[in-house]
Amino acid sequence: MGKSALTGLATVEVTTWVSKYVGGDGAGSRLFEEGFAPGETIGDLLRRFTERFPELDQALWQHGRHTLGEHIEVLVNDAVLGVSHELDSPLKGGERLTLLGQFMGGSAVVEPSTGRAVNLAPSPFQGEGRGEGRVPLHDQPRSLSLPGRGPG
Amino acid sequence: MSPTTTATRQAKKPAAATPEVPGGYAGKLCRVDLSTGKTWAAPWSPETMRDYLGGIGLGARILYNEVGPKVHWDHPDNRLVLATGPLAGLPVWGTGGLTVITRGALTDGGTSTQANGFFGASLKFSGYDAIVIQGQAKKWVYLYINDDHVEVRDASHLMGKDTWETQQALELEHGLSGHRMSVYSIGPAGERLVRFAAIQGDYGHVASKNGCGAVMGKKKLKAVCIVRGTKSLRAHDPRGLIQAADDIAHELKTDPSASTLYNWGTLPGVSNLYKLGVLPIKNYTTNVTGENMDEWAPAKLRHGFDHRGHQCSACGMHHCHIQVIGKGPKAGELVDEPEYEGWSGAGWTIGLTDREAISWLNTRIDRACVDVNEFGWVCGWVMECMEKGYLTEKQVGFTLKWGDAEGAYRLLQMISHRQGFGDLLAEGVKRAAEKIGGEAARCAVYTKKGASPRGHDHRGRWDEMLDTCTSSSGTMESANPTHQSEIGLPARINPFDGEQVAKLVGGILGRRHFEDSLGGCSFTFRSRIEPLARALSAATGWNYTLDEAMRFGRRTAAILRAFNLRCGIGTEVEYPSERYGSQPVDGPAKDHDVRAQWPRMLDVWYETVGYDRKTGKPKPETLKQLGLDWLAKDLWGRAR
Repeated sequence: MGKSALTGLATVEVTTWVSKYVGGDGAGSRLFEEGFAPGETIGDLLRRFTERFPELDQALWQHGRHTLGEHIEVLVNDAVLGVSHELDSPLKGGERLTLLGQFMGGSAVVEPSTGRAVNLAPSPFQGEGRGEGRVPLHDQPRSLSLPGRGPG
Repeated sequence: MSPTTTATRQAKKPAAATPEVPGGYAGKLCRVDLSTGKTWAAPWSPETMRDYLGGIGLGARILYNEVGPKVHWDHPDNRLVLATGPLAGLPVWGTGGLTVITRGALTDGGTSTQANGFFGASLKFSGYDAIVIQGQAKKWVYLYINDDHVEVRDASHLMGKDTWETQQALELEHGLSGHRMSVYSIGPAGERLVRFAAIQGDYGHVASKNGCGAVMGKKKLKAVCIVRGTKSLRAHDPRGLIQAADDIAHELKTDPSASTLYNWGTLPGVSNLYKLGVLPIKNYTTNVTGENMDEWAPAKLRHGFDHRGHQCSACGMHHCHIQVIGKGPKAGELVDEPEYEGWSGAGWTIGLTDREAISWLNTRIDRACVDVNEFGWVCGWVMECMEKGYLTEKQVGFTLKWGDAEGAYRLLQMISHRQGFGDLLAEGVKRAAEKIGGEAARCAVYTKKGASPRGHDHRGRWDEMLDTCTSSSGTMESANPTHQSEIGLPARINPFDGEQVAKLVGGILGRRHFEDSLGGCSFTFRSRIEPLARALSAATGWNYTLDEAMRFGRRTAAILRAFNLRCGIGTEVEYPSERYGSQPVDGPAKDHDVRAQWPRMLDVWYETVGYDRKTGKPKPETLKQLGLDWLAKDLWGRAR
């Protein structure tokens, strides 16, 4: 969409750990002034905004950007989305859209065929990181008495 | 100092773990009768293990079987169950877990409260899955466990010490420290039966809810001291266990929101919850502050202090830390990094925003063995009432103003030692407010059951308010939703639509009970249920599924509910206090009033969980579906 078509302005505030996805340090807030065209909705603006930040895009949306995932709260003028606004509510101008990261829990999206979470970084068992140097799983004994003094 | 043995009884030589004991289990309960000094090992069957798992599952069954309606929290026959679970001691993150189950002092009803550290692992390596304590000692004792050596010892030399001093004294006495010995104890508040006394252990871990420390104090049990045992612990399928453990850890590290818990523990709560209007400020009188909240970001809170990690058994999270007070009058003191609940209860709730002062006060609250949430509600209530003239200097003994750290500490001492006005406050804010009455009573934050809400402003978080008020565990029993879409619940709801809230809270009932029966930490178990069930299967050899996990959790919830009903805690007290359920005057949640929707929320919650709205009982058909026919007969009679 050309800039000339954007006639209204809204502020997108990206805060807490979510700010890491837009070049921040994971604390505090980063503010973006975003234009929108007449008739555009909150969802339209957010979709266009997150296109520029692939990690944010992955964390915010699920189901092909049709619905929001569980990780990030969206506030409109300090009210949680769903109270006074929905994704398809039209923008009027001057709104403040806050992307606030939840700090507990979460919602890994699970691949039905494997049962593994798929919207996460690759697992060590998929060839990265901590798996290196470990005894391959198929070489480990089937029965092992764990030591009494245990881990930790 | 050499201990004087008041009652020494070697546990009867236990039978060796028989092959049928499932992996992950020690196979025995350590039974202790403090009235007689007798201790004994009680094997439990693999069938019972599968039915009740451990932790709150096992404890709920023991409470229901062994604590009758006339056995109030301070009765010798009340049970204090210190339970682990089948994953404790295994190489799954955070599995040093302890679940304390008892009839607690604030509600005089069921209690389940968790702590971590090394207790669970040490107990399992000593050959026990849980300690079940009954009776009352004639004079103060502590319990010493070193493999099969179980002994009730004189504790007179420990009296008056706070929890950290008690642990230090026992470490010196036994020549063991660090991970080699786990100590959970009570401080002066527990000795004096403060109704919100906690049980604190391993320097900074607290089973804090519903006055479990008062129960321990009533039994004259100063501490439980467990030498890290030497017994082996078998996993049925070690390869599968390690795979599942790695999957759990992987989710915690990489899931966008759980990873903040991995990196920062609960510190992000302060700035996050403020944004939502859920940070309780000055006893719920406001939700707005002039403070720069960027300064309360987790990195600022952690790196504002010299600190080091203080991980629990087998934990890879960057959660628990020890820190040093860097400036101010307490500079140089070693303290436990406050959890979110500490920043809230020892800080924002009482109008205190000096971070060094909060951190110091928070540890002092732990050392006195006081629940930091209830302390916040008590202290904040006194501060507000003094500001408004509802309480006078003559009544309280001194003037206490918002944000006065030294004054708050003075109040803590008065409560812990039941001195002056502190004697009334030691009953908890509900009883104190009811006693004072008038306008003061309208300012107190509590549930009608008497349990303490945690350190959130639940007027902006209705799910937790509903959960806290309907719970049978003395605190939240469903807790905040985690991966709820895994069990078919919506990822998002309108948090101010009571019906949606009630369906969600009722829908997730059971998950937390499953977590709290495994012997680990609710923070390291914040993955999906599926890998947790898979870890349990690998440990035990059972084929445990997500469905069985939820069914187990709901069974446990129903048993605790039946226990509470038998204690006389019914539907008539499932309400917030006037202030707790009021409408915020400012902040993001100011337009939302839970009172208008509360009756409908209760209706929907009851319908969702399958309990009878009028009597509060789980319905016969619900109990039948859960395989609790025996409980249906107890609750509804044989005609059903």
